[in-house]
Amino acid sequence: MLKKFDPNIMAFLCNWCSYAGADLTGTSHFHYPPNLKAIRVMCTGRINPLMVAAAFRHGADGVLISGCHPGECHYMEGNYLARRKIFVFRNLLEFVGINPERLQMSWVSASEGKKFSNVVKEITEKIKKLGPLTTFDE
Amino acid sequence: MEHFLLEKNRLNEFLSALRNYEVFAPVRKVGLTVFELITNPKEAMLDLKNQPQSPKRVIFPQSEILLVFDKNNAAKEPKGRVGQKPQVVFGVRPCDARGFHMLDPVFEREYPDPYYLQKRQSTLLVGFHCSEPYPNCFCTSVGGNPSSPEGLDILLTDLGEQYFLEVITSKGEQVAKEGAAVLSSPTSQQQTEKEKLSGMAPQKIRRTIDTEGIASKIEKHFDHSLWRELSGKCISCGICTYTCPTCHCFDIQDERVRGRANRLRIWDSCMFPEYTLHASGHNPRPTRTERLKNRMYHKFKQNIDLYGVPGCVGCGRCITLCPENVDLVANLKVIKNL
Amino acid sequence: MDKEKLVNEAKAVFSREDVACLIGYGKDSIGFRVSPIFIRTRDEADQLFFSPLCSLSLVNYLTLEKGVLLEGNKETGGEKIAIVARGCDSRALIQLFAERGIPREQVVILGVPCRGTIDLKKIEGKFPDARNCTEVTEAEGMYYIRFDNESHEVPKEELLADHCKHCAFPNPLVYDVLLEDLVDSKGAAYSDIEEMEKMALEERHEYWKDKFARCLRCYACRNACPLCYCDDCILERVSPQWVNRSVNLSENLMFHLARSYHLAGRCAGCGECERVCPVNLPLMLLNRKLEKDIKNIFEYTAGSNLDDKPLFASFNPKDPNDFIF
Repeated sequence: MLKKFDPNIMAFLCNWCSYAGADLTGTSHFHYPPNLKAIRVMCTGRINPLMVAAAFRHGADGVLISGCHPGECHYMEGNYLARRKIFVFRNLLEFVGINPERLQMSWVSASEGKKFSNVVKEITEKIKKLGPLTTFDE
Repeated sequence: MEHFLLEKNRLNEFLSALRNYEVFAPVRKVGLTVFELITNPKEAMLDLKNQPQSPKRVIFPQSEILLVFDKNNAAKEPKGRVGQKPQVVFGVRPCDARGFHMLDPVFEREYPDPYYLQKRQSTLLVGFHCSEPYPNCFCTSVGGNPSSPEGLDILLTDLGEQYFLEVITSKGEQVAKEGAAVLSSPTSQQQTEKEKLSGMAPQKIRRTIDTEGIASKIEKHFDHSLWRELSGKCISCGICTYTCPTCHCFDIQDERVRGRANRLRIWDSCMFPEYTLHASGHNPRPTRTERLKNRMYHKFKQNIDLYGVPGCVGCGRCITLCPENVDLVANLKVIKNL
Repeated sequence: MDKEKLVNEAKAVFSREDVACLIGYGKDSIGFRVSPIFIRTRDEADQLFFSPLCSLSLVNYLTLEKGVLLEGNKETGGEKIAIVARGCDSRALIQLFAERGIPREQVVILGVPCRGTIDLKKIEGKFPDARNCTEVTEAEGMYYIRFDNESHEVPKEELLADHCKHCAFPNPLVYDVLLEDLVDSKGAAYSDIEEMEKMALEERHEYWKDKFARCLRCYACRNACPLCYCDDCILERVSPQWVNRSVNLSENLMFHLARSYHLAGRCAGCGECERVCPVNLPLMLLNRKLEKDIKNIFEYTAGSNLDDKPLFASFNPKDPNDFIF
């Protein structure tokens, strides 16, 4: 029998909003699937898309990048810069034949514990539907 | 050794008869000819043109996993390496076959290398007489010949409708036996025809250089300012070394992928700054000048000192494929005239 | 192009400006080959030439080993470097100036309006034995190719390099000397990219798998690129090792994702990566795909304006947001 697919999802969460939001999810006892592995970064603006590629290469089936809402970046514009970079990178992924839905982005503030749990639920469902990423299997 | 005749239209039958071997042959892929393992003889493409790579990689692959390990399991050899079927490489150019002759001493002398030697011993090379040399071929200048059987086990010569098949070694004899059903005996006329073709071949090589004395010139002018001029247009890429049938430098790396790790051997290139970079940060060959000089020094001086032959078979790939037209023959001429 | 005009202007540049070295094109002795040449004195300028065979970009030499180019200044005392630049080269230069890869004041640009260049692989495929091509000229959609004692006409389309077919910037956008009258330009064309976008995801993946599997990882695409000039390249880093050294499909894909992404909003469209590739990878498809998207969405064209801020160092609050939760 086929083993049930349990996706690996890597999350890069910004220190000031989304990581605190994820904390709030926990302290508020909102549930979310345990597939997410979070890495705290100071700002989404520091995320090099090659980190995303490396996550895929090393076994992630999906990647989430989450930061402050537009206009609320602790460093003024880091999330705006990230949005551009990730938008372009998603297009590149799609062009080489990797489903861009595997790379998701969300704006979650420190007070949005509920939203964070919903985002993770939704993304996990999405990746489950897409199945394992086999592109980097060799 | 024995001579046979193989009808061209029975070539596929001949290849099919070699069922005890894994057959590698030139395959046409998007305008290029590459050596690949074939399962159907019809895939073989016996036009020797546009081979950016010599069959070196069949025996000495670009990356080769030596050990696999992870946090729970001690290192062991990867599956599938031991007990391989013998291999036949079909459609080798004589210069590329000589290339193996130059790799052999490197891998068998001081520290016999089991990975290379095992494959080398179980691989048989079937060559093609090179009747149409390419514009940058200069094999005759470095001791080669377009019809040379050196390094080959079997040599085929194109007579139009048939191939004239010469068995060179006892390994080749074995293959000839397996395919005996489709082989016949040549007439004396065909024998003469073949000898005529062999005689004509060297004259078709249009680039030549007398390599006499080059080794001492390279040594003598090691610090000459001219090297800087010669390397001016080099962009330090790895094309010349990765397409060369005799380049053999490699690196050993441990790589981690998804909790597993591989120890592997991969080709390295003396054209990369990383090649000689010390852990301290010092680099004894910091610029393109030293690196280009090193490549010529290694091939035309050091290799002669170590193994008695230049480390070059004159296939011309490094000239044809160089993106900026760094021309080995022209450079050698410059050095010679110093 | 009129060789005399080129040589005279080059000599004038040497007399007028404080130039240590001029990078230009020289005819090679063999076949159709053209080499970069480095002119250090006025008299050497006679070796310069320009023809449709000049398909290589010289801009990467500016950043490759700058010290070498300035060596000539022992004689001339010059601190500037002069360069022959076509339309695409001028875009690369603008991008370099914007990124402060090299200061504008240090470069003297001899601008050449370009009618497109010949793909060496195509012309060598057509005339495999051509030893002594003496001249190639272009007129009315035909190339006139002359050898010692014969000449041939070939339709331009047949030999034109692929990236030149899509070129929207044949005229230099920045120059100190203009060597010819400007030529007509057309808008950028992306029909081939649009065709590929219509393919199913899996189909496109298969397409690239077949290509990337052949990559030798010789780094020629990176080294020939006028805009790949980082001292510490991410493709070479050992710690952390972003791209492993293994040559297999996964690592090759990592390599090409990193390479093409680093040129997003920077690629000048000179086609060097594709020209130098020994295994004919269609790398410009990746670059042009990003160029197209960036142009359509962010209204940004790399190297088109000296005052533009780099794409990823700027933003617009109205950038696309609908892919974000």
